[in-house]
Amino acid sequence: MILARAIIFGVPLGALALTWWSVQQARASRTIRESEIVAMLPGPPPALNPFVPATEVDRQIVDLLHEPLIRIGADGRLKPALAERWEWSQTVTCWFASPDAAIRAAAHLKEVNSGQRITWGLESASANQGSLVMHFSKMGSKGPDAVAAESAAFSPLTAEVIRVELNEPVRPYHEHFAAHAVHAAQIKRAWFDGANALEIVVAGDVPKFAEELTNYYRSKTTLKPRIENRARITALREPVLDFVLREDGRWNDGTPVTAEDVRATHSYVMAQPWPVTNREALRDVLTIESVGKTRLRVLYRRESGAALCGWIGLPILPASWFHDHPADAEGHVFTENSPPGAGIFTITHRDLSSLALAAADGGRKSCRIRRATFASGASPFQTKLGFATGETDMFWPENNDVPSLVQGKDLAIRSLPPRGRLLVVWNTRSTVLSSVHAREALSLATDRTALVNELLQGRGRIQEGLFQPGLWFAQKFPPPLFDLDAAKAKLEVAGWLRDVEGMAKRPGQRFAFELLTTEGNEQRRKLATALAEQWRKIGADVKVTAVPWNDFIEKRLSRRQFDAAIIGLDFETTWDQSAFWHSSQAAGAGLNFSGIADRQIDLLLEELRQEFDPERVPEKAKELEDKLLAQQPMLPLFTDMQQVEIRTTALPVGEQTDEVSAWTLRDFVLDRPASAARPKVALPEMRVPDENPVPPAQGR
Amino acid sequence: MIPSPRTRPGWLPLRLVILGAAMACAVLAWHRVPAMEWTRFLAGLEPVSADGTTLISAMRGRAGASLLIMITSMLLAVTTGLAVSLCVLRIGLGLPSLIALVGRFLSAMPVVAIAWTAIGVVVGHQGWPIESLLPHHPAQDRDTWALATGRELWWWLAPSWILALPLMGELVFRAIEGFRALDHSHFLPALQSRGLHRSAIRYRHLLPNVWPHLLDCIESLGLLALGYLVLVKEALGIPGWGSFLAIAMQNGDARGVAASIYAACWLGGAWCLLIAILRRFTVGRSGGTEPVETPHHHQSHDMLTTTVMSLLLLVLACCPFTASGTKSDWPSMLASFASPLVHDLGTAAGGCGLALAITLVLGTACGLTKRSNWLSGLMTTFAWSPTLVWFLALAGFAAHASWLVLGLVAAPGGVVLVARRWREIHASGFMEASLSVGAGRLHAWRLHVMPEMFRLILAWVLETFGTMLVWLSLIDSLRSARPERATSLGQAISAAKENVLSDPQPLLIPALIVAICALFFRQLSLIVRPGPPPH
Repeated sequence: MILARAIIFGVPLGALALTWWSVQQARASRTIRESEIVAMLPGPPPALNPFVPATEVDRQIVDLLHEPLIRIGADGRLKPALAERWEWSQTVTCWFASPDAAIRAAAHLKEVNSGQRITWGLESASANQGSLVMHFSKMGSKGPDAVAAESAAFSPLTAEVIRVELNEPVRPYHEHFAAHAVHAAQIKRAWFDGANALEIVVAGDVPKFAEELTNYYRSKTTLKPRIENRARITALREPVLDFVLREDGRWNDGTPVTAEDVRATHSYVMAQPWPVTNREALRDVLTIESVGKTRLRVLYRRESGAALCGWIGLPILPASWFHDHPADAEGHVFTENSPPGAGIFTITHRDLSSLALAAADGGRKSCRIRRATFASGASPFQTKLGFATGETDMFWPENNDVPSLVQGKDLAIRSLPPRGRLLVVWNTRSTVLSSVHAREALSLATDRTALVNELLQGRGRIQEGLFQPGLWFAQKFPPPLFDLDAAKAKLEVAGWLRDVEGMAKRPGQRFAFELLTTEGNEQRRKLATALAEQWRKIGADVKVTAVPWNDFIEKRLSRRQFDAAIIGLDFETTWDQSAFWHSSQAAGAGLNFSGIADRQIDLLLEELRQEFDPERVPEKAKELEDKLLAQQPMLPLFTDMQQVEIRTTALPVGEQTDEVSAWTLRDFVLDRPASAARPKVALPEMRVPDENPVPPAQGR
Repeated sequence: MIPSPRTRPGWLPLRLVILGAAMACAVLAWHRVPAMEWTRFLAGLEPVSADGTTLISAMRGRAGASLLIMITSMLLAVTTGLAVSLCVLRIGLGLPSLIALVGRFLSAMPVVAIAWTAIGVVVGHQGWPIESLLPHHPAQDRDTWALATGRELWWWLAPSWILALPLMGELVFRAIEGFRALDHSHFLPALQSRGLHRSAIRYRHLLPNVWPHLLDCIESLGLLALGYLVLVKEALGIPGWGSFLAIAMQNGDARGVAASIYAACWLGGAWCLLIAILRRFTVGRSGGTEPVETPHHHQSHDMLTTTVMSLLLLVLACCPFTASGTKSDWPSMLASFASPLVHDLGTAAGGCGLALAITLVLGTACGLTKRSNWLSGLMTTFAWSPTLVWFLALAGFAAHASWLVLGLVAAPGGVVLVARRWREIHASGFMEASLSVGAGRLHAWRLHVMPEMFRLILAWVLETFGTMLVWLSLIDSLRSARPERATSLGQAISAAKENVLSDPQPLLIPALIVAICALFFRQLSLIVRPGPPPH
């Protein structure tokens, strides 16, 4: 009887007591958080692919874990990261018929007086098996031309650039050819443009070489080779980018970051088809040479100052990790294994539902937040729970939830930097939209503020210009004009007059055009419909057509069979815009869909691309923007604006950031001197002459 | 729809596993999974989710955690239920009837509403955390063994208490009913005449008599709890077997559903095996005595209690909302749930109609055969299987035909009951005696069979109807589709759960309506059920 009673009454009472105790412990566990944040992530756990972050949240976390050589600072300017400094120089190579000629040319240059050499920027000139290699300290100077003129007396050979394209990977065929061809010694450079294309620089008896090359590839009919001579040159100019790595750069395990790691990172990334930011800039790399442990020399195949941008934000990983973890096209390797980084944080726990980071040894001093936990797959309800229990400090809300959350107490909203933008590309060769006035009228009739508010619930930034907002070379534009009267006037200037029904017409033609969008994208369909509605107010009859993505690109944009199209572009930290607006890209597979072909714009684009001094980029970028935007080749709409909600108590004291400015997780965790922490300056006491100062204890 | 202990089949764990395998294969066949894969599936080697996880690896940790929560919940429910019952029986003064009714009311509350209300109270009101919803991993240097143990315990105890509440309600009712039946039997005066103390009589003599029947009840409640577990885990975000089924259901993933069904039967089998072991140690090999049913004259008391208490509960349930200064007018609020209630009543009526039709046809067919056949065996196994799990799993595929699934799931219980009664009537010899004294067959049937069968079937229909109302409210919380306007009480509960932290009222009102309606029909069932023959 006693046992029965003890069980019947003891178990529930004991369980109640245990429950009470455990709840108190669970509460206590959460009250001792200090320098910690807990963030709730929507959707699946972050894949943490450092090179292709799946989401902006992924990108922010990767930025804590990994360091690039160069990064963009909070002020939008270039900042050294793993690289302590970097500088451009260039190498010019000439080939001669005999080694003697090369030696004589080198000797001749050495005899030139030092003042002249300094003017040219010539650092060294050496002969090497029939070639003269000259190193210049500056890019863009006139030194190489002057030196080429000096060495012309020694009859340098003319070199040719030959491009080979195959239906199969070209590398094995080229290696076989180079090993067995009679004229293989004439190959001076080989650069693989992707898997199936190759560009080689040949000096010597070029016609014979070309014949042998052509015969070699044409004998393999299945390859369907396309061989063409690209250029004829007397000297090969190759930009060189020298990096000096930080001495104190360390991986999380304490081993130093070396130049070999950078080289391995580049090889790893380029071997995969990942859409890495600024991949084009990385493709131009000819060779990467480690000079000691902390010096790196990157040789480029063509002159492009924007090639530096390839290294901006590219996370560097250890070569040993790459060796042990072969890459796969989908990037699963990063989900299954977390590579060590050189960032300010390191991963301490990772599973399907949570990711915990802790400040790395190197970053501990500089971090305000020492530990960050990210819980993934959180539902809106779990987020509310997190805030109710004081456990969650940060979350990424859905668009629809923002209006209600804004009113919530103790919450601050911050906006992440934009990842991409939406714009309307006009086909400037379309019969209806060929007039710049007509395109300008449509721009004036577009109420972008209304679009952002209605379609994105205010979560978007109106964007103007060509470049990513916030960068040092991106102009700050005034808010775009929305003026229907001015738009109608512009349309009339273009010859489109409105009839009694308000529709714009000119003899025999209506102001009617097609606005293309992609099928299956509901947001873009709504945007297209909203734009059509807005433009109807000035008399435009717009037909919205949604086409599948492949047809959109291949059948409509690439063939320029469209009037206007809504496209989304990811931002890239580069000032080279040739791919989108250069006249050479205005046909075929080129990305200049608008068909803008202006010689002046082409020159500006080329000049900007070849600018090696970042300080001079803003001036040239502005010139290009002004010239290009005046042509109205596109209508920039808005960028994305992912917002994060933060508990106000988790924010740094005195933080001045507003809800729209770009905010990053890195800036949040770093311990920056806040305005509140500034030393207070004693204000001079003001009093009229002869007035006695009030003793502190009395009057205040 | 708790089956009668008298109908419990032998080898139940084995039967459940075989039934689970058959049901899983049926689901796979329905979704045109090649028969070649079934064997690998049943062996646990076939992938059951998009990421290629096999059944064994998916259920490795999930099933164990689920069974542990179920055992803990049942332990809490049984001990708390018995403690409450014994206390109120000692107090007397009509309190046992009231508490039994409250217990039944609690068991009729949709478990999803209990879970979400608990979340609202624990988190929204008290500001306490729930470990499973928001796991916390403090830095190692700041964690102590007490904090870690506390968090771990709270992780287990929160779902266990929530699941224990409806089970405890049913057990309180069963225990009080069992004790009261013995109180009114000839058993008690004999013990009292020997001068035994009241508590000694209760613990040494009455409890051992009630215990075997409670054990049967616990066994069948455990199978029901498997279904409840799905909803509790879904609400508390516990990555267990239940949440696996919930996700598979929401995604319409046939392999996932089949895997969950199969795992549920293994869990059910394990549960029944545990109960069999417990029975062996606490009751002995015989399995106990026949259950003592409440004498007929107590039904008038029940009837009165039902009428009065149902009204009282309705008023009590609504009073807090009007007293709390809510802006809305509660009669109009209640009126807004009229349409969803009618919808649910209609669906339950459809399910009951189908179940009744199947019961009458198959129950009579099984009952009129003298020996048990494969059909009655199959029906018995179905009746003693986790029927709520079948309903939750299959209703996910037939969103617009919940009544059909309800009818099919409920029917086996009725078939078994009716068939058994047919056999009892046949064995009792009343018909032969009547015929032998010259009564016509129709007259004898009208006198000895029809009243009995009519009341039995009516009681079963009413009981089933009440349960169907509760189950219908559960399925909507698992469906991912959220219509803008709730067309059923389950959808109303589901729609309100997101705001339970700030305002639990919109969730509680439909849940209370469901519980009161279910209680009403269940109490009616008690009233009309055929009583034991007079002594």
